[in-house]
Amino acid sequence: MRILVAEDDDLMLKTLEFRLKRDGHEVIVTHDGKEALEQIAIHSPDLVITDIMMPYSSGLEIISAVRQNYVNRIPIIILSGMYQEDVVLEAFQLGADDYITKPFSPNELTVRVRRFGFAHAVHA
Amino acid sequence: MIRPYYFILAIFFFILVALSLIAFILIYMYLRNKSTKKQQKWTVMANLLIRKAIFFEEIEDDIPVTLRVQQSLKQTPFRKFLTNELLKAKKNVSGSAAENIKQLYLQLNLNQYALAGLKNRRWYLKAQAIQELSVMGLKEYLTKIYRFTNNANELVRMEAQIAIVNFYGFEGLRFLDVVSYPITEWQQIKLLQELLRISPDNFKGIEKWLKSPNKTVVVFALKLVRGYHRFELHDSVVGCLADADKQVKLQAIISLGEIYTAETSRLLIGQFLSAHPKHQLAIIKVLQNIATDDDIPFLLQQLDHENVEIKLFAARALANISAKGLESLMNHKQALQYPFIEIIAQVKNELAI
Amino acid sequence: MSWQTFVFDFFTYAILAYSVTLMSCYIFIGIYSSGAVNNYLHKNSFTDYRILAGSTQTPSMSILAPAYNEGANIIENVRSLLSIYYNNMEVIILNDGSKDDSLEKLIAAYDLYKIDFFVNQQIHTKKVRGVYKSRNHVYRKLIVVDKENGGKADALNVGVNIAKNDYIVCIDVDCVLEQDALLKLAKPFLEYPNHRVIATGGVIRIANGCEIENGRLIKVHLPEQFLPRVQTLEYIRAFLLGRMAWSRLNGLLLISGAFGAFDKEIVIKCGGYNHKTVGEDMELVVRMRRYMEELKQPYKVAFIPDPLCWTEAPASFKILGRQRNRWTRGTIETLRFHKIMFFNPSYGLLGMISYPYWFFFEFLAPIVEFVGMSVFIIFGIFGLINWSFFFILLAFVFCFGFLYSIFAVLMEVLTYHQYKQQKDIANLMLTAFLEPFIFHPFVVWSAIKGNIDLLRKKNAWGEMTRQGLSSPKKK
Repeated sequence: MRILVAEDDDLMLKTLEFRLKRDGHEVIVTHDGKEALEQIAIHSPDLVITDIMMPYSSGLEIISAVRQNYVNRIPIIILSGMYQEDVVLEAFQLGADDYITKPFSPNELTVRVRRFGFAHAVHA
Repeated sequence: MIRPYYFILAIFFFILVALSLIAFILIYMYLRNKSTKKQQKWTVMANLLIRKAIFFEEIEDDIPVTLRVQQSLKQTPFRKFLTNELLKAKKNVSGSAAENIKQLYLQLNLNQYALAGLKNRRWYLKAQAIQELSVMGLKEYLTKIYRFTNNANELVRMEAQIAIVNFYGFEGLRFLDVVSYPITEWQQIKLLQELLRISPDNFKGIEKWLKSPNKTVVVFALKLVRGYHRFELHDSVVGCLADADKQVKLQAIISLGEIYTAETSRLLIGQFLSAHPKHQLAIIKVLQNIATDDDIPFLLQQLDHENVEIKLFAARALANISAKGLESLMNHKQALQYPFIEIIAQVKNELAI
Repeated sequence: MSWQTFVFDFFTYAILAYSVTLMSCYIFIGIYSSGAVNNYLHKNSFTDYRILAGSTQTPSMSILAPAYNEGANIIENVRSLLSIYYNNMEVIILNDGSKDDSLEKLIAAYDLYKIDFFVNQQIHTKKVRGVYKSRNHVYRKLIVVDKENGGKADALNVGVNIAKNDYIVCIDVDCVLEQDALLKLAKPFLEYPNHRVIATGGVIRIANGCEIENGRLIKVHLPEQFLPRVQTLEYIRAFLLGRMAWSRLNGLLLISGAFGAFDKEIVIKCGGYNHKTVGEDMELVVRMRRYMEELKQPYKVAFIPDPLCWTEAPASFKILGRQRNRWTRGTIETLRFHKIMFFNPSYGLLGMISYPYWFFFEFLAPIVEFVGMSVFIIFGIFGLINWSFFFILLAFVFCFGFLYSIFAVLMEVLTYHQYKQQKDIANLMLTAFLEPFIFHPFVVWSAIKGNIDLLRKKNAWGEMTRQGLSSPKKK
């Protein structure tokens, strides 16, 4: 799968990239909301994993923009340190497909990503 | 006349001090820039090591640490840097990855420095050490840290309280039994935030805290009551309404709005007339969620209140009760006059969203 | 001894006594502030603000951003305000009867529609034409208010009337904020269980020359032009030393209108911003403090030294002159409105120290300097003074000023260290050397003009033409 990751913390971003590549995915890394939206337009990834608190555009804005601008539904996983109920609810209302809170388990991430990969394989 | 001589002396003194400050600044910057360059190398080194730790799978073995890292650890700046990076990583991952980070931390003996920090005289080093042990989840130091929960220094005390809650969840809150210093609003927010990660298991103690002589503990207990919907404490919270402390009373009103019974609105309305304007407003806001058709006459009365904000919230409460409430609002004798015409328009608009 | 020498000696000693007192104040401020900054840095070195960004328990804040003909950059400016890390907030843009297409642009970019909204006129203001919200849920924190033109104070008062949150944060719409600015600004309100914190001020830094992209600061540079560069130094001195020391004393009188947070309840009880003065930001803080003193309630005005707000400084003498002229008038007007507090012990520290300090060393300083210089020169022309003594005195004052600036640079380097290159810092120190020759006389002259204008009752707002932050700058 081609996965786009948006995360402003460098260590986290590298960790995610490393893990996802090891799981056999193609990974596009972005450091803020603006870059993420630009790269989504260029690469049309099969899955987006995004943080919420990021410079320029928040992860929530990314969901809203992707849902508005793309006909085919790109799955979006939120990976965020915010675990307040209202933030999680808002993310799902805007159209997120999954929500993982930090601290997160990389093993769990692999499994959750795989589910979307399966759906992707069926539709492809 | 003062002799110019003194001024010349002063001038030379100023120049001398200025020049030495300039020299100091330049040398300081030189050293700092040099260490920044070094830090880039450190970042690479630390990131590599941490990634290796996160994805390490042999359970029995030590995590392999390169000779270069081991050597660099002898330098204090690198040690501090790596510790910080480990803490950052630990906050971000969970499960086996988090266990590995902790293992690496212990394997490198970094906990020894934190333990030394606990004994340091300087408060900020002490507080920092507590935070470090807490993030790393080293519960074995519980007794050492617990003693600091009522420390005279605010920061030390705050970090210790957070650490205990981090280790033991709601049970850790027992420090509230004895704490004699105020728990600041900031600290309350942090504690509540910390508790959000843990699933509540009908923890005990709130009732006692509601009666604490420390008013900030009472306020915090009231927040717990509403955050965890402890309906059984309704009567104790009602007791707090009589408290002389304004903040306690305010929080009690807000909490009642979350754990209300059929009696609550009547009770709050009973308090309304004699209440402070701030409390009156809080009561009206609470009524928006808990009032029933029986309270319509009271709310209609409040539309004539001298405080415009109370008018607005009374109108909003009426609109939110039921169709009957909204109808009685719109039939108000001044419904078509300012300010009610605008208030009603806004309230109706809000209902539609 | 002739009468001339007597007059001259008397004059010299008076000036000397004044300078030495002022220098002592500066020495005190320098030492006292470094303790405060040090303490703050230690306290915040291990605070993770971001954990709280999503919290619903943090105090609710309303950002008020007045905009007048800001159409050029308004979309980006609003976006950057909306991307601030803070859950419990609303962003209120106050379109103060702009003549350009600001409102239309906002409506289009954020999908706004007019809502029915009851404006509670707790403070009397000009008429509100409409209140707008976005149809897009992501922008639900945004409120745009269209109102008749009434000036900055009036626009802010409308914001106070409309804000539904407990605290208001007043900012200039075109300044660049760090994303955790609000989290840091909110904290002081929560830290003092026994005091009511009525306001928190933040540091303003100079953005000229910095790399800014889409309303975000990418890289900090020292401005290349001389005027913004001196102001950079001036701001470091004023904020990192001056205001930090005053807030530690709990005697702070001024929170810059470009970035500060206020307790809304107190603002309303005081009647909001005063549109009769050109110094509405200082006047509000003084009035709020006076109100609390009269209530005899323990209160505090806090200040945080982090560089959170970056704004563009005037780069031409003309605009700088207008700005300083306006500041002078604002100071005098504020002092005049509240003259009852002058050495009045019932106002505590505010009446006995803060107010007199502002009177003697902010209001009077340029006048004393101007008069002193003129008199010396006149005496000199008549050959009545000993020139070497005069120059020694001048050098004495100059060296002290230079030393104070260098100390400020040292503090900046040791604390926030925004200018990483040695070249920049060397440049800053050179600027400190040049300032008394080029910049300072001009500032004094502008202040004198402010005094004169006020005497002539010239009340117009010196118009401040800005260059616009995203206009291409170097690199």
